[in-house]
Amino acid sequence: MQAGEELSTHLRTRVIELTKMKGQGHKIIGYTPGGYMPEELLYACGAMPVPVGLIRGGEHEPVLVAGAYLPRWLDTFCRAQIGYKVLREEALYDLIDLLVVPVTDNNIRAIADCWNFYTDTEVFRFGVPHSKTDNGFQYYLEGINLLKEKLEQLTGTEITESRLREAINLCNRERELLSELSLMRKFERPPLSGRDFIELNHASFLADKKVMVEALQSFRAELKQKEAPVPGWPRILLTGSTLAFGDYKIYDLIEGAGASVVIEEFAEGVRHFSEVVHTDGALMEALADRYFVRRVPPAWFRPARERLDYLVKLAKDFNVNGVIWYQLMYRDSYDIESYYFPDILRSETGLSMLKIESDYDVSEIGPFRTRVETFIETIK
Amino acid sequence: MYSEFFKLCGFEAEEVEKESPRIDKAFKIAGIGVKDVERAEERVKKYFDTELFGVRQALKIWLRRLIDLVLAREEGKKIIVYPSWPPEPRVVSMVAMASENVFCETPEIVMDIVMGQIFGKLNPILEAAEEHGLPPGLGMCALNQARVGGIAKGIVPVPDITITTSFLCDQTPKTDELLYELYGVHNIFLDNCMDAAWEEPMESSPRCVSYFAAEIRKVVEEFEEATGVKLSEEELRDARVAYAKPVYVYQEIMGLMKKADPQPISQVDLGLLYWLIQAPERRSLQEGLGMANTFLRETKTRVDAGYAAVEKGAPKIAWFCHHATDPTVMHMVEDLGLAIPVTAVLWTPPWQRVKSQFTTFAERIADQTVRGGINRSTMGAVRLFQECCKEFNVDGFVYLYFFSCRPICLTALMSKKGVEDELGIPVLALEGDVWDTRDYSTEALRTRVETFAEMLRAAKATKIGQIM
Repeated sequence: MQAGEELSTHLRTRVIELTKMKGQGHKIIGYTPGGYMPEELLYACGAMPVPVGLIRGGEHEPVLVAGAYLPRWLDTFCRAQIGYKVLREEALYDLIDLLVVPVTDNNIRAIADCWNFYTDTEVFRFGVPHSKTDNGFQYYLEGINLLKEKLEQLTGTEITESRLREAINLCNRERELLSELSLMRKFERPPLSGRDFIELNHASFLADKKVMVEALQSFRAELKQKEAPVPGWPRILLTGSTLAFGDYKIYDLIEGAGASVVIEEFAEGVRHFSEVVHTDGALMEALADRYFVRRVPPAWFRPARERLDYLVKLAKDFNVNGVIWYQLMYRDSYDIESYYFPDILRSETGLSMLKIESDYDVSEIGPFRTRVETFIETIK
Repeated sequence: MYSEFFKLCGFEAEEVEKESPRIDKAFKIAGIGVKDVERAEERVKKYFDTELFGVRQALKIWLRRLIDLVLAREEGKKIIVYPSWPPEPRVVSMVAMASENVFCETPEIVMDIVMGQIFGKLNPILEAAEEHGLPPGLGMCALNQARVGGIAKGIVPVPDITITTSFLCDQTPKTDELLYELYGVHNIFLDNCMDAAWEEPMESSPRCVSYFAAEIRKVVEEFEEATGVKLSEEELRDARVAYAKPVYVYQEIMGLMKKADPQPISQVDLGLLYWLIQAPERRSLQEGLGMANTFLRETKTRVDAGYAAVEKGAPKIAWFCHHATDPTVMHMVEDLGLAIPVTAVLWTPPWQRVKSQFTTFAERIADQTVRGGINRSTMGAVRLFQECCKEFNVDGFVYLYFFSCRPICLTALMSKKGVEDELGIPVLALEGDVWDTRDYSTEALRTRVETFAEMLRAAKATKIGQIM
């Protein structure tokens, strides 16, 4: 596909491009994943966002290296980010002028603390309350206002209403397109595979927004004309804690076993694009409304039943045949949910669930394959 | 079957006789039989210094807390509230003192101290939790397992309400959600955000205080709405004072321990007091001050008499946290000739001793909570340990981190480096647990602590040689 090739080229040269931009005085802002960082603020001040963590994941060596800085009993993905930074394998991490960390749980806090303690990178934290209360909304709003001030001070660019509105419109456009492409997988014969979609979705974190929007428009046009392949069957809802860029072994295993992932419920999946920012009121409040209030919360929210109800809804809407819960080691909030969610799922939909825990270890693949294949066989 | 054991634990013969119907009932529910009592008697004699009246008083309170807890529902307590660990102790105190109808207890700490330290039979409770949503092998906190396992085994009554802090630990509120899913328990969350800037001085940010104070007020309102029990400002203030008094006494004891050589009292004995302060409930709030004062008086007497729980001239170390389930680890350290004047995590640094400038009750609590230590940030913890080691002029610091506790793991290696770089003293980071004896072997830890102790002795001898 033409759009795919153009986007691939853009991503391959992205590090060089960002290095040049940094040389020209642009600020490179890293941020931790989880979906609580309003990207719009970065674009509105002319900074370039680099989502730490989404760049890389799925490899074991950084996880091992991180053991010198952090005991192993924290989330695999978060430990990996410390390993990548220490190994200096990921060029993008070295470009970062400021790391912004919306502090959500202890695992994400570990990234902020280790980068602070062991490296020279400046870190800016703002807390994400754990409940959707009025107090919580105010606290989050104050946090992103402090971030706005920090970014203005760092870049020397005022985030004006018009610049912010322009950035919001651009990000909204990207969300709408991603959402449209994702919804195509509701069809009986999805025109793109789960692996193709998630790579595209992950690319949206890295690529220049304008380039990405153009690429997504081209994809949409191409996919509308494309003859859909024979459907993979059964249809799978994939959910869990974190789905990092490069951590695609679960897709390979599912698709290799003859099934299709038709929807991903992750902060790096559907939660990334499922709500747009409303632009009819005060814009900072609108950002807080989209990122904190209307967003489906992750498992570390208290209570977090909203996400489980959302999973049930997705399972019904996308007409799935089974759920695979893919999570990383020691993300305990998800572990505990995975104990009682299967009962909720079964009673609401009659579906079964398979849980898999990864520590990004190559030796996992064999046992994972056996379990995934067995699960797919049982739900066919 | 248990008269001698109860006398050993500070009960009078008449009290045992009077209490026996309740004891019989509670022991039956808890699965404590004759053999268990015999073992407990041996353990108490072996691990605790029952010559100290304070120790006997503390053991008595702990046993009573178990009995009260097990029988709470049966004895008609209308509202049962569990402030899950880690609690905000001042908020817990006000709930505990709210009404005679409210039974407020931290079951996991009672399970750990009584079923663990005293009876040595916590493991079946933890195993029960492993079958009810907190599986083994995934770094699940054994404290949460003690809460869930106690309920699953029918030892601990299902509560009406849980009140949980929702910032330092992520797993605790999630465990309470599990209780909601399994038993329909009403969860109340006390939220905050750990977003203090890294190099900020140890002052609380007004924004953070304001949010946390609003959350405290919300918890009070939610509690009042759920129970119909009203909490007046005056009662809240009284409860806060009732909590604070034994804390001050404990700090005084640490002051004595700081200056004493030889160490006059084992930290295993002080641990009984430490956990009563950390997990306040009505009985501890009413009787705890007297017991704490007894500990203080007896410590003073021993210092004056030159009594040695650890040999004179021993190298001094700061220890991270008291063990809740296992007396053998701290005894092993003291037996190896290391004096432990302080457990760092409950020590109050100078910046927390400053009177709060905030005016409302909720703001004052919030201010005290977020001003320092591990409730503030990793850097807050590092600064606390640096200051503690400095103030107690210790020769080393042992940070035994609980492998299943994310916030404690998070700060472990940074605290080690932070203290070593700042003070030039060695820090031993040990992986273990204070809630679950299945995760480590005291003998395996001994090898490492023994080497550390030798190193400190050699360093101390060199230092003395240089001075002379």
